[in-house]
Amino acid sequence: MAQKVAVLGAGLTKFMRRAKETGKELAFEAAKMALEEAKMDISEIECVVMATAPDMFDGVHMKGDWLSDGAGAKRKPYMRSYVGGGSGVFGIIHGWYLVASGLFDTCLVVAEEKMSSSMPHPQGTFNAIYDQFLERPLGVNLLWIFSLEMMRYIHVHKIPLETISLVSQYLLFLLKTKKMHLTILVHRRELQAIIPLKMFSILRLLLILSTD
Amino acid sequence: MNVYIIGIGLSAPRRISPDVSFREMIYEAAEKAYLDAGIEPKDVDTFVSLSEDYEEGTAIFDEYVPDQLGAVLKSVHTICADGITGLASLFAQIKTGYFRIGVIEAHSKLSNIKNHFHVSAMALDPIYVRPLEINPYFVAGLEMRMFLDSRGYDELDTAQVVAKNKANALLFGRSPFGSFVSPEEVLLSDPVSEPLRNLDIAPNADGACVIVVANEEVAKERKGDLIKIAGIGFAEFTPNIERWEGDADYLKVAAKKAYSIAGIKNPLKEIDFAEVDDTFSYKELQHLEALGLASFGASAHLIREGFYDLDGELPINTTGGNIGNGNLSLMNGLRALYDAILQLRGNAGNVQLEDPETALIASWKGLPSSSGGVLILKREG
Repeated sequence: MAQKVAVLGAGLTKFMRRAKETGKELAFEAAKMALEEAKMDISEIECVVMATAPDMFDGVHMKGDWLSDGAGAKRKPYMRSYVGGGSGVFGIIHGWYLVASGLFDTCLVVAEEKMSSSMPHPQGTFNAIYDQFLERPLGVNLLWIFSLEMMRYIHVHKIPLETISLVSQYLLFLLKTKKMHLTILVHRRELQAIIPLKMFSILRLLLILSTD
Repeated sequence: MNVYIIGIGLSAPRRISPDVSFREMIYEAAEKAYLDAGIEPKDVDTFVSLSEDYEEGTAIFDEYVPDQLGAVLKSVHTICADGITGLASLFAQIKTGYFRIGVIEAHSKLSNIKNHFHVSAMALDPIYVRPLEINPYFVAGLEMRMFLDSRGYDELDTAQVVAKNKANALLFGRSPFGSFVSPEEVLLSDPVSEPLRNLDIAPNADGACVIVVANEEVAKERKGDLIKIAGIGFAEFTPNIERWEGDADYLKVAAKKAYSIAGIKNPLKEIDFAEVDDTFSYKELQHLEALGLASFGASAHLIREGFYDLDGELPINTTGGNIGNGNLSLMNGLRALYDAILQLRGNAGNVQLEDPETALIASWKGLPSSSGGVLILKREG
């Protein structure tokens, strides 16, 4: 049966639109902070889990292998687990599997994403998530499915668009009152004049910008 | 809690597969595995898929596997690693006690890629190595040279691996790259990146493999022999090719863990046969030494003596390895596992060994990685 598992430390790099650090360096910084908070040395780590989304963001095939030494995994059991955009949370779950199973006593879980490497914008790389034959030739990106899903959600549940926009307004309120350190910057003028993106029902202020 | 393999399915390796999509190959393998295990997809609690986005040509590839596995609205995740490392994820999940039955899938559709080495080159460090515009086979050639020189071996030693594995593949009958070729003939094949030659490289192939794993309670409800996962380990060395030492340290670390779990003290005496990654001929010898199935600098002598032949003391790659079955990328480890189970069940046909009980499977993720896994299987009669 599963052995109990606890979180001993955590580290987080500053979010930014365009990090000068490589993905390896970002992974190293976060791992170092987590180890310091846990008062542990890398030699005490028995295995490392890496959670990171599509290779195309960083432009590196086998991205998990490339990030491994930044995450402190040299000569250690190392596994990249992946569930697309949910990889960050799933990385913790996977670390839990490895420790709860009794296979290891300690596990360092590292999640890395550097979206700014995609030029000019990571939405372009999202085209590669679609079916090669039926969808990709349409030139679609991630906004396309979110827009369709949002339209369906609004239609089925009869929710006015203004109600959806309250989420964005609330985030702005948290930012202004400093209750939340958001790295997305929302201009008051934009809030007053919500601009529909071309061809999409989804609105600019309902999006969260990509960060590193 | 012990973990067992209760079902296996394979869409057999082939050079090209213009008649089927990767989904159809996975479906074929899944259908066979579920039939073999006596289960239906609804009985499965968790699924693992092995893939790398660049080889698939699709990002977030795990979105494309649930349909053909019967895994819609179930726990599915990708492990970007070799087959044995992926299996370790499933092993851990079952060991937590929260899952009863798990399924792992791997496939290869490398024939869809015009120039596979262009894709492999994208795995080289983008800042320090990629600007050199080297072909990844050049990296393999460099490592092969380092391996041969450090041990005083020559190309005729690694050519023995090619001759042995291609002959095993021909005898087995299923493998598409089987042939009788002498070590001297291997040396006549075209150089790719010296000392690496064309026949030293496992040719790319297509296929799919699905394995069903279960806890002890589920496994013991079944008739016949049980195949137990007695030990498993996986490890990474370093992605920096300039730090490689030609000793496959990833398998040393992985083997230490696997032997520890399995309680193996002397692998040479306790292992009956092994399936060991031979994507490049020198890799088989390098891996055998890393696994402790030969001491440093002794593998060439042993292979020349016939120690690793079908009728030798420790048969290696009885169905032809990757050189005989083709390079199936992340599926290589599961193909080797599939064939090891055929051996343990007594279903390996012309290459069947006499009553094997303990098998070792060692996989490598492939060029230009330095990661791999080691698995120990035991048959319980």
